[in-house]
Amino acid sequence: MLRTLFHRLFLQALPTLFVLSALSFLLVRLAPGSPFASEKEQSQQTLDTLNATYGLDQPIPVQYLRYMGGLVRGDLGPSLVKPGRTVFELIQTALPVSIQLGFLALIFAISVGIPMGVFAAVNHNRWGDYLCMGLALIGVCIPGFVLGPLLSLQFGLNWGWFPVIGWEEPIDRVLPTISLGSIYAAYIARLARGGMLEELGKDYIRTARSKGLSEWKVVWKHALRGGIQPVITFLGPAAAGLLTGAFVVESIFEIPGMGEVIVGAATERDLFLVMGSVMLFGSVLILFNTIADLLLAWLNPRIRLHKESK
Amino acid sequence: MILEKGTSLGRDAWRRLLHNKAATAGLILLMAMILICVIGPWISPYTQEEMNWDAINAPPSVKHWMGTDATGRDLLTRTMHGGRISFSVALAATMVSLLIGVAYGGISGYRGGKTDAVMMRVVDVLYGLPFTLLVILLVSIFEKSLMLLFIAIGAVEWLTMARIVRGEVLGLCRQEFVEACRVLGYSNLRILFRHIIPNVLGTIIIYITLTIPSIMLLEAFLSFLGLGVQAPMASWGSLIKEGAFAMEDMPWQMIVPGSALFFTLLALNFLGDGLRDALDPRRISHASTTPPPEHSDSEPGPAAVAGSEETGSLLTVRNLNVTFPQRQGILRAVQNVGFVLNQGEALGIVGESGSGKSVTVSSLMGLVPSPPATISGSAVFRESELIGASASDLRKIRGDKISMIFQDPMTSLNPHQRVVDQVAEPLRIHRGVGKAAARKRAVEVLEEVGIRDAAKRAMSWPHEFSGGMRQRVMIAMAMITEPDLLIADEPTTALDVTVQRQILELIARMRKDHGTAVLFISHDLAVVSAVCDRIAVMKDGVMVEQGTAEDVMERPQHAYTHALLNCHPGLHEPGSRLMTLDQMAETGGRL
Repeated sequence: MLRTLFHRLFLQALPTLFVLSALSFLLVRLAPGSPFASEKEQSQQTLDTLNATYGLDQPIPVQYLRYMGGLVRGDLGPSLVKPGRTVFELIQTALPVSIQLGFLALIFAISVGIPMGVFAAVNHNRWGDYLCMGLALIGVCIPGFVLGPLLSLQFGLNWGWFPVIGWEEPIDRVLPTISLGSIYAAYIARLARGGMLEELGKDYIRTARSKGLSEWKVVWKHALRGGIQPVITFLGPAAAGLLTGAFVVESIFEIPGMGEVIVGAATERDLFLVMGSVMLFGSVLILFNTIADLLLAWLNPRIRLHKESK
Repeated sequence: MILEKGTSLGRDAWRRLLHNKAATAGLILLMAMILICVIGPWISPYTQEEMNWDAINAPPSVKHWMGTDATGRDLLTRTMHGGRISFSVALAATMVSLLIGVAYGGISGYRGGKTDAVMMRVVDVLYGLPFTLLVILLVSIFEKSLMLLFIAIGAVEWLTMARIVRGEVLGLCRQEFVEACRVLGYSNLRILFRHIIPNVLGTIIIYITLTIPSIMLLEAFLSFLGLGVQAPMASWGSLIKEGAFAMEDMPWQMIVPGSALFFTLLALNFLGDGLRDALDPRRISHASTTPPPEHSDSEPGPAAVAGSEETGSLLTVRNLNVTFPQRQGILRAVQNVGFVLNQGEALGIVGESGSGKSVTVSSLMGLVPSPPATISGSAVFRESELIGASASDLRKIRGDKISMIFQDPMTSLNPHQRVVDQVAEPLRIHRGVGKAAARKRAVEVLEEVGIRDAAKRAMSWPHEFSGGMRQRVMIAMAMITEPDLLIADEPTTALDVTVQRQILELIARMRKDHGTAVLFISHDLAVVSAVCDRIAVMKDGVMVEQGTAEDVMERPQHAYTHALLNCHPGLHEPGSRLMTLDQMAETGGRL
């Protein structure tokens, strides 16, 4: 297990973070426009001073190395556009909101998707299967930014069950979570059904049945571990989709998350704010991918041993 | 020639696609959507920019079928224009991802070795990137243009394409026709793009059906964030955004472009599922397997009435019939089978594959799913009737009084559970034994079936055992409840000869030590005669002969038993020819 973790961290996570940082740094620096180009015209001299203050007069590789040096020491740097504010200050309220929204939606997607897929597989080619897969198909075709307005119109405005704006009370979280998570619940249901169908056809399931196990135990105790492996593999990409997908849901429900911060920062060329957001996002994603990998190894002893013996 | 093959394969797939009703519906719906978006704007009396201050936010009416937006523009016209953008972005970005992905994956798979390792390492690293985030950066930093959108989206989607193509190419490179091309002196590029890639086309098409919807979603997502198509142009994403914020009073402004996106995605999904069915080679081979021949009604064989009415009988089977519905008619897998198994006795059921011997025992155990199968007749185990018994009654007997072991020990154990827990499970569910006690007993039984160092090995996973060892584990699992009857369904067929012998000896020993009756199924007369007191022979679902092992082996009554005996070496006089060999000689050495 430790070996898998080590492998994941040093051979995959660090190179990925490196490429991510270099790529986004280059993107922002090479883009036309400057963070200091505000509405009032500034003299070339002021611009030069500003550039010098933040070290932007150096060659790009030097700038990059300096930034990375600060990052390693935990210094995210100052905001270039909002004077006197650090990147950390600007992110510290928004990032937890986005992560919380993404995480809630993930929990929702898993806890709806897996039972649905398993139910469909157990009732293969019967009405329960058709019903679940019909629902999943519809779910796959309604992205969060279509579902969100529909839900907020019906459950928020027409029926008044849930608030349609904000992120204060727990009840505020219901509609955004469902809007963001439903399409992933649908994907997961389809994946879980496929995995379970394959697993339920295997010989060892016949063995389990021949032992006199109840169908419930055959499904949940024996088949599930193998059957949900496609779902676990999907967790990494799903986490990525949920975190960035949160941006639109945030804008629909007026949630103060990272979407606004990142788009705003990139448009204004606020180099350090962009870098800080991207790096934090990247780290969260890598964390999720690693968790998915470890889960997969835990679920499948063959993978675990294979990797450890390497 | 390749072209000919290609067209016929393509035509075949096309035919299969049209057979699939959902896929055809998807295709028609998609074509309709595209047609409306392409032709619609020309027919429409409005243009997408034409503002009408008298009809601001007008609900759907005769004049404006789908209503108007905040500046009085006709929503249907705008949605059709937006569809043009959405479709062309999807198409162009798919092309970008296709070009990069196929070239990259093709080269990586074709070169193999170090090049492949490096190229795939790069893909792995890129795969971990939050790509949507980078696309957001890219389009928010640079001037927004459609071109940039194509490239950005295509750049995200090519990775999976590269992985898939690489995997396929890697496999194809080992095939003979590629060798042949090399011998002919074709250049690498020609081999790769003229001979290998066309063979990957099916997979590529399948993947494209997954790519297009995800690109349409991504485009809509970016446009919703205001990063995609810029005004005055509109795509479905930007229209949905405009509508979303007017949802309360003008719901049609969101619902119209939203439904356009929904129905397009639905059509693409239907079409994709259908194409996957039509093009997936694995499913093709499934579809083309001929159904097993239908059996005619036949007289009840002599076996049906055979069987003694002894008092010590453990299992009495009478007139057992199992049928499966087929596309044409029904398959009678088991017909009027009857036999009696006494306590502690071993009965062998012999027959070739498809003779119905496995179905016979599986149906006794309630392991034949019914429906679709129809099972009739009677099977009395001790005092209880098995046929038609409730599932929960059968479960109580199954794994407790009657245990089973199967043909392939490599796949019959749960790969995700420790050996000891699998062996202990019957004790736990049937006797309610606690975990620790059950494990302890499991280790003892594992020792008994000849697992050395059982206490330590018990905690291993199935994949750490060899085939023979796994079959011992299966036997331990079956014997842990000390059942009255052990059903062994071809327990040695998948094992090599020396291991076969050990397993047979083990079954014989278990039978002797515990007084367990054995129902032994095999296609191998020699194996059966080594273990069993009596032998029954099955052919085409009918029990054609039944008798003591000695009688059947020495004085076979039925012609089929004769044939079975004759094709087995070592059972008849030395020097005589084997039947299959005779046949081979007649056909000039060809099989």
